[in-house]
Amino acid sequence: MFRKLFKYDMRYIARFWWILALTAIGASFMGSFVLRYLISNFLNSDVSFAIKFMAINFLAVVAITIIAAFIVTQIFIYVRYYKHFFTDEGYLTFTLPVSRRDLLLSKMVNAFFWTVASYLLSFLCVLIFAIFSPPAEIGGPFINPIVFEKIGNAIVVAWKESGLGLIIFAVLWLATQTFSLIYSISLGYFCIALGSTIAKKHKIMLAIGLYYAISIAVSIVKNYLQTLFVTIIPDGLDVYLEGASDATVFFAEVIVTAIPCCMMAALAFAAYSATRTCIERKLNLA
Amino acid sequence: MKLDFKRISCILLLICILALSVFASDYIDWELSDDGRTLMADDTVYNRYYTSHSFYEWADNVYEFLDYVNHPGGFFADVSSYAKDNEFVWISDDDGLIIFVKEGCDGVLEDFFSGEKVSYRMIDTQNRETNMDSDFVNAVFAGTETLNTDVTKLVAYPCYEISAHDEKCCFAYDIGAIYELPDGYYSLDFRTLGNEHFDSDGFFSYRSGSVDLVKVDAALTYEIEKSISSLDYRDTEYMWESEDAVYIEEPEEDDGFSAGRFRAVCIFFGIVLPLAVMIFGAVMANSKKLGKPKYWYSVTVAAGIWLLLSVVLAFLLI
Repeated sequence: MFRKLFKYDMRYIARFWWILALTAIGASFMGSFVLRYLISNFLNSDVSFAIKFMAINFLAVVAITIIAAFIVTQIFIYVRYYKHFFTDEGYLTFTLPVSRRDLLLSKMVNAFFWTVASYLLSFLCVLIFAIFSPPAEIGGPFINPIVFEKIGNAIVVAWKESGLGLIIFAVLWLATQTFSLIYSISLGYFCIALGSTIAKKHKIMLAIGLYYAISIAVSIVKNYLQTLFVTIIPDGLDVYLEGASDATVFFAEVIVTAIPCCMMAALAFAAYSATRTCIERKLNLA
Repeated sequence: MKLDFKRISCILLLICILALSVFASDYIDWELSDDGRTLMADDTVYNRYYTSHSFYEWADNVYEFLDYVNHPGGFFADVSSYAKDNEFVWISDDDGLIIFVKEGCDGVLEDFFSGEKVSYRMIDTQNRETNMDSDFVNAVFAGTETLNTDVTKLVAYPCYEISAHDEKCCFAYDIGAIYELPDGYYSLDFRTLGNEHFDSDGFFSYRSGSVDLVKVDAALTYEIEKSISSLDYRDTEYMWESEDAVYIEEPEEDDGFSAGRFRAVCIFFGIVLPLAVMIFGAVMANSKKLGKPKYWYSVTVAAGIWLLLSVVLAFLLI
């Protein structure tokens, strides 16, 4: 049954997402050529200011389109969740012969999938800019690989300095980002569920208010922790590991990178559990 | 519905007004003429100051203007000065430093390049500096005993250049140097040398030729060594153009590493906090009113790994 739920949740977003994706990709193509023109002619006094101004405005519109593709996806994810669970449709949803666990998990996996897809879409748009924006060199090919050369050089330098460590740090970073995303989605779901449980009117307003209040409180703590992880802790490691072997230093660095991952995992599980509690025990559709 | 529309319109209008106010700034707009001779700062005219003297930027205070100059050479150049209200500004291009001065305000520069109103500093090869008074500078060059030396050999000895600085402490040029040879200090007055001793940028060249060094009076040895020991790195104060001239490079307060603070942070975030999260997760998992325990136990497990990693890290640091 989970599969069916997931299929319908996916379909709901896929119905319009491809339009968003095509618009963002198309805008990126056009934007990258406009940027290429602008880079080549910015100091050219033969090109009028009006054309340059229009080109800059067009780039702003492209940027807004790409950002909007991401934001609209998020809005639809939460709208789907809210409508399916907390409006009149919710009566029907909760009469289905499916556990609430599956209902929530389906929404969760769906949100995770489309959020990752949105990130990949944004990355693809940036990639299009990186490929087509740099003007060609005199006598060189149409596509100037300067951005990729710089990225490649940076990776080579990082590989030389960190070696296999680079992969370990990349995996830890990816895990932290995954938990961070689960936490973020769960928090959104939790706030909608709580807002709908507490309030009889203005449920969405309350949910948004709760989301901002909790997000701000958590981000204050997170920022403080991040400050610690880039100031006091590296200083402490430098002092206490002075003279230690390279392997010990590397191991300590891996641990220091893994701890935020665990923190994020705890936060993500807590947010998900709280949402489930709300959906299973506190839901009041009356 | 109408009311909502009005409200939304008002908010949008307010946002537009606020957005427009961002552009309504009073930063100076710089424009360089095509021939590079005139620099316009809104309505103020700066004329290019020409000098055959070689010099370089050695500023104690730099006021960076926000807007750039669109240089005819096809690039953007920063406009700098010693203050927002100034007599001259400077930009740099391929030819080096270019000074633009307000009409009738070139007195400071005239006094500087003629050597009439200058202050002196000793600068070592690491760009550390210390002030020198003019009597001391004159005394250093006033010796009578000379030593003819090949400049290619001179480059190997410790060298302390003596530079002249303008009244506003923006520019400098070298007037001579003190060399520490095995038998004492020798000075060389660049002002007495011919053109063949300088490179194309006007700096003393060690490529070829010979010079007459002047032996510094032994009575000045203590003064020179005192100056050398007081050499310190220059602390240029940068300011950025804004209403309040906000500092962009404030000296960082180095409060040093505190072992006590580091331990406190490690204990709190490595032991106390994960323990608290573990207990919270376990309590929630066992509370029958609060949903399924599975995910609350996951919280406990994640906090447990966090605690374990912290303990391993503590062992590594001991």
